[in-house]
Amino acid sequence: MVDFMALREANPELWKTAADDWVDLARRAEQSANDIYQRGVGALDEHWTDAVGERAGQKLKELANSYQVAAATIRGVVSTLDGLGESVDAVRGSLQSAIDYAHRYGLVVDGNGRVSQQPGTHCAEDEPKISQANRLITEAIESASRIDDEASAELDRLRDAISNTDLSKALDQIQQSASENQLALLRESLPIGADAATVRIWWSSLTPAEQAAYERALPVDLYDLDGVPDDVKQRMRGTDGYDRIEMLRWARQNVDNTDIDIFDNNCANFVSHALEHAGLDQKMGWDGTFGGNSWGHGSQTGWDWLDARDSSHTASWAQADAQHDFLVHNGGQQVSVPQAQPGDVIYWEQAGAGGPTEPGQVHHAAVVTSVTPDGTIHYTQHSSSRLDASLDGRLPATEVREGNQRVAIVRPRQTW
Amino acid sequence: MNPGPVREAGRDLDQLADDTRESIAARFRSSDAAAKGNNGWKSATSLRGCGRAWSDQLALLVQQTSQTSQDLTSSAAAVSGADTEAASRLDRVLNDLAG
Repeated sequence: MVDFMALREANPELWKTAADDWVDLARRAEQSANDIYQRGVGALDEHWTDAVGERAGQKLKELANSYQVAAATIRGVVSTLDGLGESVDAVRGSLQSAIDYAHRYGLVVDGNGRVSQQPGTHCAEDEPKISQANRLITEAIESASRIDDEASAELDRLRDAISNTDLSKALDQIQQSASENQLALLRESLPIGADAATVRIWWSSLTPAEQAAYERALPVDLYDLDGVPDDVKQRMRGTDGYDRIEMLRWARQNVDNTDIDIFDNNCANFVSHALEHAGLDQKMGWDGTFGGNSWGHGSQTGWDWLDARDSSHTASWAQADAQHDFLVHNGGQQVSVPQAQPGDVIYWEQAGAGGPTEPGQVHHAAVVTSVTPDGTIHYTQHSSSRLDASLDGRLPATEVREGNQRVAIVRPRQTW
Repeated sequence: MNPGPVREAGRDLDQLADDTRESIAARFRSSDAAAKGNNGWKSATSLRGCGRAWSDQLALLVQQTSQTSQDLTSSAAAVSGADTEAASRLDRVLNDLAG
């Protein structure tokens, strides 16, 4: 259990500085994997082709894989430390607000965080204020303790992961857990369950930068808090012809929903469903689903085989490349990666050789569901199903495996 | 085997091991500082353990890289040496024939 002094004297910046160094470690391991594949495995494949050479090449591949596994797991440590630093920063701010509240009314806060009147005074009118200050301090300490428990357990799991040699497990389970946990840690700093008056006080105690950080990192959780001002909620829904909050809510709730899986690959289909659910109208020409500049689907029968035929959906509904082009050519705005907001759509375009896709082709789509204060984009995709996966965490492994990628962020806007 | 490029690959790996060893050495100090500067947090203890485990793991990978580099260089040298010996034998045979 974190106590009052441990929270008051916490130094969250140190967690974040440590996270930066773990990023460097991950990059170094990724570079090592790349170098071994390029300079080692490549040379042996070409210049040592007998059975002994093949065994030597296999050994090099195993070594490169070990570096990749290390990098993928270390990225999980980065997510955890960033989440820890960000959430402790927020909770320490809440504690300070509670202390300021007590001092504003001339109350005393002792070294254990207990609030009382000045020695020798007694005023019955102060009792509710003492009670309120004590409650706020207790809540901050309890939040900090939950954050500490969760981060500690995650770091222990990441320590134990050194025995893992499976890259898929490192990415899809170990790193994925840490990525989701980064948001869970930050969520612990929200006043979930508090009454509207307390939420209003909490919201107004934040700086504009802190408010913006919550809007980007935890949009649905924030939106659902009773007491967050209506104008903030309206802004979060957006004015682009679809309700960003409902898009995010649908994406998060349906990440594992296989009912929509009528195609071999359903990533763009998932994005289309999320946009339609959020209110984006279909755009159909006189030729229905056959039209080039349209987005939508025909009547669905419920028979997957039939519904997956070309005439049932526009290409822009079901294919990442066509969807990207449709949105960009119909009012959508392409924004830079650092400008990404929850409710944007993220696309992966093949930029270099070495992958299964031709360079220049967009081959994957997902929904941006969070941007954490460290700048990491978290996305939700289907299928394979991933909730709040870390772009920074997964992209390097994708590039080692499939060649360089260009990430495009598109902000859809209904202009039809 | 074409020993020249294999020897080159061995040298590249050796350089890689040196670079990695050098670049990771200082990267764990900030984790120690974070643990030290956040007394009373369980996460501090966990980060120390996590840092130690991954420091050891990366050191092991560097050591394996270095060993693999030596194996490649030795193999290339052995093939080169065998090639040189074979060439000398051929020279001697040709000289004998000419004589």
